[in-house]
Amino acid sequence: MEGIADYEFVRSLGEGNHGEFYLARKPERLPVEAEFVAVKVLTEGTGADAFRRATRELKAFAAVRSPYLVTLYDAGRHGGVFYYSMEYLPGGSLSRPAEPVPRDRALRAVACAAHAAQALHEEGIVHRDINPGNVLLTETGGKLSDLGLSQVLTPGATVTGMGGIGSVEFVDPALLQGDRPTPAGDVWSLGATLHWAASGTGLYGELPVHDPLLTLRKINSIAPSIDTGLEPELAELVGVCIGDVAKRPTARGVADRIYALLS
Amino acid sequence: MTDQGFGVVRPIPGNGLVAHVGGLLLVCDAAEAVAEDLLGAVRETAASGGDGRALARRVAQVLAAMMGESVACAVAGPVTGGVAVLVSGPAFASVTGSGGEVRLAGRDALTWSDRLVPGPVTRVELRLADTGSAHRLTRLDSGVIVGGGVECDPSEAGEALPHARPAAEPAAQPAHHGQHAAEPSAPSAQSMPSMPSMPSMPSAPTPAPMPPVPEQPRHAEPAPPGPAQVPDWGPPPAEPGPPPMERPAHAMDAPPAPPYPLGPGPANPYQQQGWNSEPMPAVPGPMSGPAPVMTPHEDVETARANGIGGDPIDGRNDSFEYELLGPGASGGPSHTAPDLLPSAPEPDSRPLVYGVDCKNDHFNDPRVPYCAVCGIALVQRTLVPYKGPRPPLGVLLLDDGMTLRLDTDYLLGRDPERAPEVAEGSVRPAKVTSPDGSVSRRHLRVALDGWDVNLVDLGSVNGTQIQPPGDQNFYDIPPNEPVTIMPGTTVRIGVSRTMRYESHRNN
Repeated sequence: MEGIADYEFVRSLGEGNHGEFYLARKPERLPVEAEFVAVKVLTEGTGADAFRRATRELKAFAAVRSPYLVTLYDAGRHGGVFYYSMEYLPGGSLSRPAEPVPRDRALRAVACAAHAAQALHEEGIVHRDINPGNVLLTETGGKLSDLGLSQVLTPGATVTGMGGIGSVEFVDPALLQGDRPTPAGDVWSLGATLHWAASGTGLYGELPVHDPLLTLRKINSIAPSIDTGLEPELAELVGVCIGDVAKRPTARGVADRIYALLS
Repeated sequence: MTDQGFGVVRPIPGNGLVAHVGGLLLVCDAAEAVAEDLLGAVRETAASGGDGRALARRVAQVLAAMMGESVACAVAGPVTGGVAVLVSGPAFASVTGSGGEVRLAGRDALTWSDRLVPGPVTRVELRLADTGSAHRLTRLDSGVIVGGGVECDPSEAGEALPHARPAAEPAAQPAHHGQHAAEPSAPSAQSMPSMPSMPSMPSAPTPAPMPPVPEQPRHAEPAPPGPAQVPDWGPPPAEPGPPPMERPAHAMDAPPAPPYPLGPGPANPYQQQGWNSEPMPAVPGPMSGPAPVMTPHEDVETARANGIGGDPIDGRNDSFEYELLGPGASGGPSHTAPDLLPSAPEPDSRPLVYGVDCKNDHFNDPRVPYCAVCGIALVQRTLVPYKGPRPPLGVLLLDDGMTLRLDTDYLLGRDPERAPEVAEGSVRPAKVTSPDGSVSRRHLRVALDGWDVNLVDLGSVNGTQIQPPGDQNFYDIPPNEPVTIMPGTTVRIGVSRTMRYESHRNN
């Protein structure tokens, strides 16, 4: 793929949950100062209705002010293919960092993502797709990227097909079993992401990610377990995030507790 | 390049279908579903600004999905500097270009034949077998009719031009500079003046001899100079338009409007008819705020959305629509959750069903012995069923990872979006496609009834099979008859797609 709309792609930045990211040159029409932008191109074709729904969601996301949210630029449709563009952060994501990330820095990035989630929750928006691939690294911490659009693109879907099934291990199992997305579900994802950032492993161990059905079965059939090597405070924090809904902290609570552990 | 027309298009009588859409031509005689797919390919190509080459590609995909079944069809569309044509089955094409007449017969090919015929093209004829000849006075400016073929003469121009055409081409105009649409309500974001509506059209070169420009912006060939934009379309003046005026620097980036690749001569105002043939809505959809100007035709849920697309897009010369999201694009969230869509199309009211509560107040199917949520035994309790909102009955896991929450009915298929029950909102669409084309447009309905999950095969071509839990075999399910499935059932949709019903309920 060489481009979409008037974006000229420089290279691929890897796959997201239901599409692929590209580094692209900023077209002149965009009123932002940047040479490059990141463009996400969705794998599946998108009808006009889904496009409108997705655009509306993205606009709501874009309207939330937080220094820890990635800035969105535009959303569009070209030949039936949906894309949206956002600020490009050369540091990469927690799952694909541009350079090795020290553990402290990774935890700090998760705390920033938690702040971002809080900002979204305060506006009544649930992110639905917090995972290490969506926590982008900046000089000072991190930014949360890429609202989960699966639900929007296919109403009723909690996970869309095509593209990384891997991130389902960061999804609250209640959601996979049919519950509606809630802020508490985002907190579950923050806990799983924190676990991943701190221990380098997922809550379900190795997943047969080549087989989406098997992966989902495994996730649906076994309980998440916290790495025994984790420091007690971190393990406890992850534990409350993925525990009983009624006792989960808020996203801000997660951020505060991570900061407390870091200092 | 749908902007160039085929001149006067005359239908040839016959029993197939003839379409002239957005400057693209299709003639076919096929089963209704296939004809629908072919028409979809034409419409999608037209709406996305694809040229004859894109049309041929998409049609080839439709034909490929037929897996060897012979389909009588011929398509043609303009490309830069000529015409692309594709023929399959008992159909014929004849295109007269710079190198003389090129004839193609679909029967001669194992799959289909296609060709790029260099222009200027003076005659295009597509026809099915056993057809008559065109009446001199007939014409098909745009639309889909029953017929056996088309005959066109791109050089035969505009004497019968639709004069009533509105002056403004609201949809097409803003695209003047490039592929994208300017947003009138956010001028600062664009800094694009609405040049196309200016009669003085500085950028328009004379339509005189000029080599075709390969990378031309799609909707941007506005421009026989000046007067051609005026409602009364006289032939363009012999003189070039007024001298260029000053304009924003970036506007210079727009490549000059090319001459008509099809037309032999410069003055052929009829050519403009091409982009007009699928009228674009004047008001670009129900968006508030910056509006996507290149709103495609209503009808166009594109072939990609339908799963028959999928060719890599390079279409730098296709049109696209976009909306700015960043700060300054619009106001806060209050501006962005507009009136347009009856917002979340999700009926939030859950249906009421009879159920019982477990000791921990989890609402359950009265038939099950244990609570689906906490596993506690229900049998010891004397329970009186009451009506309560039904919880989700589990999920459908598709083999590509898509997970559908079973809180309402679904329509699964390659093109579920436009089914009436989806449109009225009672059923959610879930697009399922397969590379072998074995999933029908509307293949399978998942219907929830009380606490049961039922499958109804909608008379799909390749059928639906189920493998009940603990059984090694797959069984066909009858069409149009609900079949209740248990959690753990694997469902095969068509030939190659599977899904599984998972639930902690009803186990």
